[in-house]
Amino acid sequence: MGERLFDRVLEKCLQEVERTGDVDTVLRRHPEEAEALRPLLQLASSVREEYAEVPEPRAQLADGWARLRREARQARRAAGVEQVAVHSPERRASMRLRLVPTLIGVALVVAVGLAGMVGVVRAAETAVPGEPLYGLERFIENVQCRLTRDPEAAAQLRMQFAEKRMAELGELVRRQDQARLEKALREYGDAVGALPGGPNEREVLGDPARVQEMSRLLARNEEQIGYAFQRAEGQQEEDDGEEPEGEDEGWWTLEDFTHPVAASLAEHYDVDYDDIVYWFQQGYGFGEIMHALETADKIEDEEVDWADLLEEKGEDKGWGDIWQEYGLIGRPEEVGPPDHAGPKDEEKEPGPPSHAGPKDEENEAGPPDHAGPKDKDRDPGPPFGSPPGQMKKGDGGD
Amino acid sequence: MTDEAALLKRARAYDEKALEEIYEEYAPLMYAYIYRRVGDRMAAESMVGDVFVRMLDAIQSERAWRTSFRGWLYRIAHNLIVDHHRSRPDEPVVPLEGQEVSSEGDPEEALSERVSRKRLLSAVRQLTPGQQQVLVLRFGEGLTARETAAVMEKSVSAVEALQHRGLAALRRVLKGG
Repeated sequence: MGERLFDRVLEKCLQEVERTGDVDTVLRRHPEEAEALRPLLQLASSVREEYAEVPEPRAQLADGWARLRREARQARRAAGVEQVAVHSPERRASMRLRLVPTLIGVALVVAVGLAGMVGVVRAAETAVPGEPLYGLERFIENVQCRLTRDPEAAAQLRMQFAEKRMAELGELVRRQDQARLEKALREYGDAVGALPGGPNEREVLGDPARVQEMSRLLARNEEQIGYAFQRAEGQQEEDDGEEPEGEDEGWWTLEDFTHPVAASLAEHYDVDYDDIVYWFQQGYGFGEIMHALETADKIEDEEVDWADLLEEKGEDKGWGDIWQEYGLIGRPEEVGPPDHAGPKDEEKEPGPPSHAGPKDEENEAGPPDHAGPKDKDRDPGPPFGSPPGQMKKGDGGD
Repeated sequence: MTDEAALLKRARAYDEKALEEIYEEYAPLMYAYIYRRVGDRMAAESMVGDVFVRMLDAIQSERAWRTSFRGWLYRIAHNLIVDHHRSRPDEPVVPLEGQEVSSEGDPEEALSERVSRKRLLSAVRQLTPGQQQVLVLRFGEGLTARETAAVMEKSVSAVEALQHRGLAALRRVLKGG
């Protein structure tokens, strides 16, 4: 075989080995060249494996951005180009007000800088949205994500980041920092959207373990969000000399508050935000709602919508039962036990799950199955009516 | 106009937001590429800034890139890596710390026993710059032969030949011959 032809065969084999990871099978297709190809393919696999490991960069990578920005500003000045910045008088006033925390931020950066770059990175890790080092924190996370090739490790990272966003949100609520709360909510919504099995991935049915993990995370977060908001509201009312509201009041009663997870689900699945909030109020957590939305997407029958599925789920069924019923997965005898959808309802504590209210000591034993509102009087199963704007199958609402 | 073309147009006008987006998107990629070529985290981090400062200057030229912005960035990074090695002529080709480099034995046997990371990567760095570039782009960056050819401004067959020669040379280096 000529050199040129051998180069071609080697390239084809490299592609196949990359795809299948199986050198022997690939070589069986090229018995005459197998002896010459084998060491090269093995070597290439080893190189590929070693190149996969890249150490995490530190703060110097963020310095690169600072340099680039500095150079861009100089070049802009030299070229006489102005950065477009049109601000209303109100915005200018607001910007002046924001100058104070910015100056404090600059002082913080200088102070932290004296402590060394390691200190900067650590400080960045604990920054909250709107703080000067927050951009660095997010940048480092972004780099971590991009450098992580293993899907499992990447999934874990995204779970961690969603937890971090949650902690930041909690911290801002604790500080009653309304100004930064909006950005923190957006950040949290984005992080939830990027969760493994979350709406951005649309692979909820693909990996049951991830679905479970995500549901637990969301449930825990919902509880914390609600608790934090209620505490902040209660604190505010106490400060105003008013009685705090009862603990059954949830975040949906807060004025001008858009729940980031509900908004993220509504956007990704193209459904009404109010419908999602409605079902949440009925005792279904966001994890469950997301299961229903994703399941409805996967079911080819357009007559079945996600609200039907939630109702069905309330009738003592597990998601595994529902997925089998609609032919999305095989029967237990075909695929093994349907352990993907979390414990079946009969295995759960009777009654609705704990929700976004103050933590109930009885629930300390483990995360709630979902995060719907607590309603002690609710029957274990629905009947639920159609949510606002949600047309049920057979309602004949035309 | 594609999103990327619009982004680059804004970057050309020194729009900071656009530059930030570009940096966030490509800095991790460039960092990994440079690290794989120089094997030094600090140097790689520092050189990433150089890539983008050079990009800022070169982006003003209409001939800056033809088809792939990413490929063009790889070329800028490659030139900087070559400069980096040239500026350190006395530096050993392979910066090693306490590793055992055995030039004895059969390379396949050595590989089956798992060639140490440092030994393998240091052997790669003894190849010609072109061979190194092909191996890093193909096996580190995960580019196809066609994409690699575009980055290196060579034909696909030239890249395939370089790849073959690079792997064969790597085998010889590991064998010690």
